[in-house]
Amino acid sequence: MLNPLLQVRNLSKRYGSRIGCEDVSFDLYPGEVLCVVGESGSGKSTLLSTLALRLQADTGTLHYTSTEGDSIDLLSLSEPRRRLLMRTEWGFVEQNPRDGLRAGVSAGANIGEPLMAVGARHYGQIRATATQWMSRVELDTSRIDDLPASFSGGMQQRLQIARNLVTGPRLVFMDEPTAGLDVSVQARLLDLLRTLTSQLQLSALVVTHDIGVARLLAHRLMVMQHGRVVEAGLTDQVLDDPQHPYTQLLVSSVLPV
Amino acid sequence: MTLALSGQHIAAVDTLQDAAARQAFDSDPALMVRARGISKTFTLHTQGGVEIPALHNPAADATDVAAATAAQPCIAFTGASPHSVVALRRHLLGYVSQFLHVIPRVSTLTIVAEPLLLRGVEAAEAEMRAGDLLARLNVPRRLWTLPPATFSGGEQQRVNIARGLIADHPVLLLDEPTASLDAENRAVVAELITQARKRGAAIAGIFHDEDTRAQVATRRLELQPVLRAVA
Repeated sequence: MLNPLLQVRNLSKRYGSRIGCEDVSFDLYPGEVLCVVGESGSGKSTLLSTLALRLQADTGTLHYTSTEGDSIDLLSLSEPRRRLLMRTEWGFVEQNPRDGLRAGVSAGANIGEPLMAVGARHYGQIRATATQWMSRVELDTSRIDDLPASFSGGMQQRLQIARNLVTGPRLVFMDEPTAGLDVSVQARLLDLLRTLTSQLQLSALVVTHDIGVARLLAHRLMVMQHGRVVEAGLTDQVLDDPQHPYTQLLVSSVLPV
Repeated sequence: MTLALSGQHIAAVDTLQDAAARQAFDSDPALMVRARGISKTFTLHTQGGVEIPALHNPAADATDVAAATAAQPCIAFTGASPHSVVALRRHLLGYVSQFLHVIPRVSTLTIVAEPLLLRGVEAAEAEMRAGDLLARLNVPRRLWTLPPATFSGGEQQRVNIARGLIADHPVLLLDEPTASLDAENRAVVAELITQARKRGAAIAGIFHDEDTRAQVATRRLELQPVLRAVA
């Protein structure tokens, strides 16, 4: 069997005396989608930011298997190498597309920029790749020169996903990728994410508070409460047979259509 | 292919502790379960790894696995890591549930073709096979490009069956696959299940309807509800 892409052991992050996330351990395998669910304030986003090295972890270990197959200790990684990893092998899809896009440049440039950051210099090829990705995320390719601000929220979110996936990352972090979108756009985005993760053999760590999103997108699920993982397992195991009282509450609180 | 459910002490399915019942689950080409009570879907779920038996007897499992490994490679499903369960399901298990859970706005044809795509079949061939199977199950062609959310109960169930059976998995778990179908479609489904059995699939199914059961099953296991003191 393949080695895990990401190995997390006893990871904790505190804000002073308050707990951000506490004692989190899991493995993420190549091609696997892991969803983290829980109510607001349960530490989901803190966990995601800590894993993505945006926040400094207090205790625990974090190992990543590089393309060459060796294990990198992420917590002691130097800043230049961290930035290289972010550019080449990782992506981060923000909850609010405006945080993940550059407002001052066109849609095409937003997709082309990460390519240039990893060394692409041929303008024609960059533009061609950008066009290709716009159609892949179902955006109108004739709007390649428009600014992101002229796009709707759902379109901006898809643009942000294209920007993150264009360099062919191996691991993508997503913070509530479908929050704030209307249901039909959300459905389209779910289909897109699922297709892309299976086509590109992409591993994804998705934070969401929407159980429905988690059921359709995730292979595995982690349920968080008060900064701790209270239950983890295969998506249908957790959702069809929840063991922890909090998971039971969460599952039974979903509104039926 | 052998599907063995053994060495497990499952609180809700007491009969499975019974040696005879356990025997029935072992090395059976096709088997059907019938009982009044709560435990039928649970039994299937346990086999599909959806639910993990509350009590697990590692000692019994170890000997069973050792015995089975001597004859052929055997995987203990209950102890497997989530990652390998996902892989096992993709390659081994075809599961037909009572309800269809799918991503909204995805076309019926794509939904049915998906298990094939996941197993590495080319998109064009997968869609062709999906179309053939849908046609056989009398799902009208004009519906193929539509998502199944607005279909009738019977149509949704047939999409569900097509999705479960298309990839020729070696093990099939069927949870009342014919429950909401009319006689004509029931016959088609029974034929598909029989066909799967003849190609060598191990099938565990729950059927309420006697005719289908008589048509598809080679063996029968009755589950008794666990008697509990009602206080």
